[in-house]
Amino acid sequence: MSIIQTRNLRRRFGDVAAVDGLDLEVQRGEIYGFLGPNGAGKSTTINMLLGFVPPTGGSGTILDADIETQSLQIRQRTGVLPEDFGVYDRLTARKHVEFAVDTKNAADDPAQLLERVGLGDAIDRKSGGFSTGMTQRLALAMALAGEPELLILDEPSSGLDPNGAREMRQIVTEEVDRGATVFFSSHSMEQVEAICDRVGIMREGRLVAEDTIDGLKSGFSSPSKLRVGVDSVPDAVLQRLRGLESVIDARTDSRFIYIELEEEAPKAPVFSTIEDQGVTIGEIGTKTASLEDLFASITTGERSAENPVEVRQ
Amino acid sequence: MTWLHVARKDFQDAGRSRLLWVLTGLLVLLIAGLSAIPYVLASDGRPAFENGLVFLYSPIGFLIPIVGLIVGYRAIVGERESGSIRFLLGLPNTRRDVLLGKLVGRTAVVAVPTVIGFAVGGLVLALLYEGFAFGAYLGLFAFTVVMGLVYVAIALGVSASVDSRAKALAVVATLYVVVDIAWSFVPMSIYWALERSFPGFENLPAWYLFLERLSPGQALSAISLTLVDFVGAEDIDVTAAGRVAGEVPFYLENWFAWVIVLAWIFVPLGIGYLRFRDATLN
Repeated sequence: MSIIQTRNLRRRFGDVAAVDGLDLEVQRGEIYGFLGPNGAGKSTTINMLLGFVPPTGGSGTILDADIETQSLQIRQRTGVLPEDFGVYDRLTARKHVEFAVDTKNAADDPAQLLERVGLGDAIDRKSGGFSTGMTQRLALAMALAGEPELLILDEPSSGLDPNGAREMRQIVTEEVDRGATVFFSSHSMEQVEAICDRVGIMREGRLVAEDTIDGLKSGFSSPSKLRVGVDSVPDAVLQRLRGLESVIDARTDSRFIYIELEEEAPKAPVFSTIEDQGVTIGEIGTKTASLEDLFASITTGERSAENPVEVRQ
Repeated sequence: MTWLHVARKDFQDAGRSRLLWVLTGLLVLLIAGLSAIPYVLASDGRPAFENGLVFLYSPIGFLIPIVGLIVGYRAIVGERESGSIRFLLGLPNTRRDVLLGKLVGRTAVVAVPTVIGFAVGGLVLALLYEGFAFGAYLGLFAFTVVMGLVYVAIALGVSASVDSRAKALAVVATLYVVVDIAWSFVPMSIYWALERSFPGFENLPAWYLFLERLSPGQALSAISLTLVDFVGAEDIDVTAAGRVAGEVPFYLENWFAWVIVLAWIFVPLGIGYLRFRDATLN
């Protein structure tokens, strides 16, 4: 059963199509990572899902309720960690969570929720003095109030240190174990790969990829890169290398030769071609596509190999 | 129906601001302090309670509108600018709940210091004056709260209609000057354009007095006479009915001013609600 479903969802701001025909489908009980660089349309999508911004076309349902006409019903059953939110500086953490619990008509103990997000020692402090990470934790505690069926978390890790991000992932996992569905957005692949069942990647208002992490990886043919340390670079060597069937490109900065190879092409012909020119090979570095390369490739449309080569030993 | 939670949170939030305490101090000083003036000036013993009451009326009429507008103008647009509106509306509150909750919360921010001010002021008045009239005092208190509500509603309507605090402040200040401070120039100018002479105090056409009364300040003074029995009010008839030439039309009677007062509550709120309902919150 799908928890979130959009059909050809669109939103224009003047001439700009912020979201341009989005078909999303998030299943019950899954952790869905909603990815894309800043400005890809993620926030506009979430704003439409929550009723902050009306769509200019298409439709959407959450928990079988229409996002435009039944928003209240949706928000009764959804926990929201918004993006770019501000706290009530003069109210304590407890008052914030109390407000969320009351509004949700729930019975949670605010102190317990705050303990859970790691704000146990700041329960009665005014939130005006909180760091970004602390306000992020506070917002998460508010989102958790009332055991929502769906959690919509917009960039939940922003402002959190690595430890905080790990705790955030831990809580997300606990919530899913309880039976919740989690939809969260991020501009970084790294944060979602550890826990997401599926990811959807937005680019210029459209969903350009949607799959499991493994599915995305296997569907992505990535060139591998070689960095070969050399003592000299004879004129003919680049020409010869480019002549090889498996080589996409070869460049040099006179200390190294950088070679871009077809995926899983044998490397031995490359080395022999270089040595045939009387060159002594020094260190050799290789790099295969990382998830970030994959992400960059999908969201920018450029082959990641065209970016400056950085070789991991 | 979550407006009550919104109102409570809003009052707690505003109540922790220095504003509420400054207001309370100001109102206590005003009510207890100013009402003592006739006593101080009186040379022949304790003056009558009614004198103190009349003395109180003008400063209330001056201070409460400003207080109401200041308390109200940031109520919604402030949350839009700070981003806390994302909590308000990410939680299961409708935009109507938010507006209603804010109206109740901010009115309480004006009403609570008023209660304290009137309680302390009541003690002072009872001690200094002869014949404390509880009914009249309660009437003036009720009037003060209604006045606060009107100006909170006007400011809140503006706050819900615009997308920046600066705009809200500009609109509220302009409204205050045009419909309150300078309003009497409007009927006066029209009169002059029509008659080529200036209106006097009495024997005025009904339309003139009605136009004059459309201002919230004027309408509120008219309803004050339905709530408080001021001394001297019957000697010089300052009401529209006492100044009109010929028959008094119903819309110049004091009870009709309640309609105008209610309009000043509901029209700004209604416009604010419609604009807020359709606002995109990015």
